[in-house]
Amino acid sequence: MKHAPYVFVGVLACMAGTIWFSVFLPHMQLGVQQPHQEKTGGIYPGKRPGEAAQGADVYRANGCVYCHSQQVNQTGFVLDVVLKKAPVTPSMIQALKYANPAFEDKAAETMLNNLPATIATGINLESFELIKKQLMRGDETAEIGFVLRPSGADLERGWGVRRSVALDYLYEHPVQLGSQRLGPDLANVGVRLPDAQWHLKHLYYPASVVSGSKMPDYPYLFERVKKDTVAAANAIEFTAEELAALPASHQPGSDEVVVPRKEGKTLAAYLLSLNSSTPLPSAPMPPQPKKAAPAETNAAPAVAILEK
Amino acid sequence: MSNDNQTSSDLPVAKSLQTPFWVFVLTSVLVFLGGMLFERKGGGANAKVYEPYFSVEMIEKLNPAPGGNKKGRLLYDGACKACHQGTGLGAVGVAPPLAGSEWVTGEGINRLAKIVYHGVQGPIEVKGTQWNLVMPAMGKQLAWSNNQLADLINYLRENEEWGNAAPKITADDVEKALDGVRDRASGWTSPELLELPEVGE
Repeated sequence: MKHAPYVFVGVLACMAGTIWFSVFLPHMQLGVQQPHQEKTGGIYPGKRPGEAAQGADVYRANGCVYCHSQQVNQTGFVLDVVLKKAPVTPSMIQALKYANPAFEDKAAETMLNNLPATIATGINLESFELIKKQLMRGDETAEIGFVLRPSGADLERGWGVRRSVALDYLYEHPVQLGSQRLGPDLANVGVRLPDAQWHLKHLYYPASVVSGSKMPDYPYLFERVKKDTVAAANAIEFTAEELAALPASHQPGSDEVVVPRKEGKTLAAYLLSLNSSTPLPSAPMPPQPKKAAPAETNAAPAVAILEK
Repeated sequence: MSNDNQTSSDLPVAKSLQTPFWVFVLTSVLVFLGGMLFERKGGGANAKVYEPYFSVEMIEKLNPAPGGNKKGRLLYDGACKACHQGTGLGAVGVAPPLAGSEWVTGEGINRLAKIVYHGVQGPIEVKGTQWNLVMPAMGKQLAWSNNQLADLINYLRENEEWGNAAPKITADDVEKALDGVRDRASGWTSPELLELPEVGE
C-alpha cells in the first residue's frame, strides 16, 4: 500500500469528524439540559408519578408509538400589541394614531381611558418593536406588552399550545416520539382530555366515545367482574348510549361490569400525565386561563401561568 | 513497496484527472450559502432556540423579564428567597408566608421596615397561624441603604404573582420607620411591633 499514512489519517479524520458532529456536539448542546425552574416555584419537567411511569411501559408494549406521535410542531408566531398603562395626554393620542393609523382622535382617547387595550394584532417582532418605539415617544412611562400567538397546523388542530422542545423529554426513557400520525398527537393529551373515564372507555372500545374511530380496541387491558364485588368499585361508568355502541363481544353481561386491569389503569394514568403546556423560555406561549388540577390522583399538574 | 516491480508497462495505469474548476466554485458557493443560512437561522446552535425562532436575542425578547422591580427581585432572591421561597409562601418550620400576609400588605410600613432591618423573633401570628422562629437582621447585616430597602419592600408589597397589591412606598418612608431605632441590637418581637402604629408619623 502506497500512501498508508495518508489513508490512516484520512480514515481517522472521517471517524473523528463523525463522532465530533453527531455525538459530541449534540451532547454539548442538548445533553447538558437541566430542569427548568418556573417563576411559580415549580420544576419542569417533573418525574412521572408511579402509576403513570408504569403506564409508559404499557404504552410501549402495545406499540402505541407506531400510530401516535408525541411532538407538537410550530411553524410561526405572531404578536398582539397590548398597551397596559399610559397617561391620557395629547402626545400619547398622537403616538397611538401613528402606531395604528386606523384610530381617530376620539377612539384613541376612549381607548386610553380603558386600558389595557389591544392596539394591533397579528404582527411580527420587528413591527412590534417599531410600534413600541412610537408609543414610547408619546410618553416614556407607557407600559407596552404583547401576547404571543404561536401558529402551525398542529396548534390549530388543538394538539398543543406551544411547540415541543428537547426539555419536554428530559426524563423519558426511551423517548417515544413516534413518527406516524395515524392517530392524533398525544404530547398534550393529559391537558386536552383530562378525564380518566374517557380514556378507559376509549381504550376498551374506541368507537364507544369517538364514532368512526380507526383505533384498534384493547379489551385485554380490562376484565369483567360480577357486580357487588370489591373489584367492581373501579368499574367504567358507561352511559346507556355508550353501552349500546359496544359490539356483542364487548358487552358486559347483565350482572357484570367492566373493570380496568392494572395495565389499563396505568396506561390511562400515563396518558393523563402527558402534558406539554408549561411555558418554557425556549418555547414561549400565550398566558393560559388559570384552572384547578383535575381530581384524578395521577393527573397532570395545573397549568402554570405565564407571568405577563 | 514490493508491488512496484510487478507493474508492467502493458497494464493500464490510472492517470490523474484534473477536477474541473467549476466544481470548486459551485461547492464553495453552496457551502457559503449554507453557512449564511446557518448563521441567520441556526440560533448559534443554542439549545434555547427552536424553529420558528432563530436567535437567542429573539427568544429573550419574547420572554420579558418578570415585573418592573428588578432591583427588589434581585435583593429578594439573594437574601430572602432561601427561607420565604420563590412563591412567597414560606415553609413550615422555616419562615412564615409573605404572600397575602397582613404584616406585608398593611397600609404603612412602620412595622415591616423594622422587621426587614432588625429581624423578628419569638411568637408571631401570620395569616391566622402562630409562628415561633428567629429572623436575622437581614437589612442591618447586609447594610442595605434606604433605597435598597424601599426596592425590596415594594417588591414584597406589589408582587402580583403572590397576589399582593399594596401601595408603593419610598425611601423616605423607610427612613421614617427606622429613624431613631437603627442602633437596636436585637430583633423585634410581635407585641413590641403591635404597639407601634402601622403608619409611621
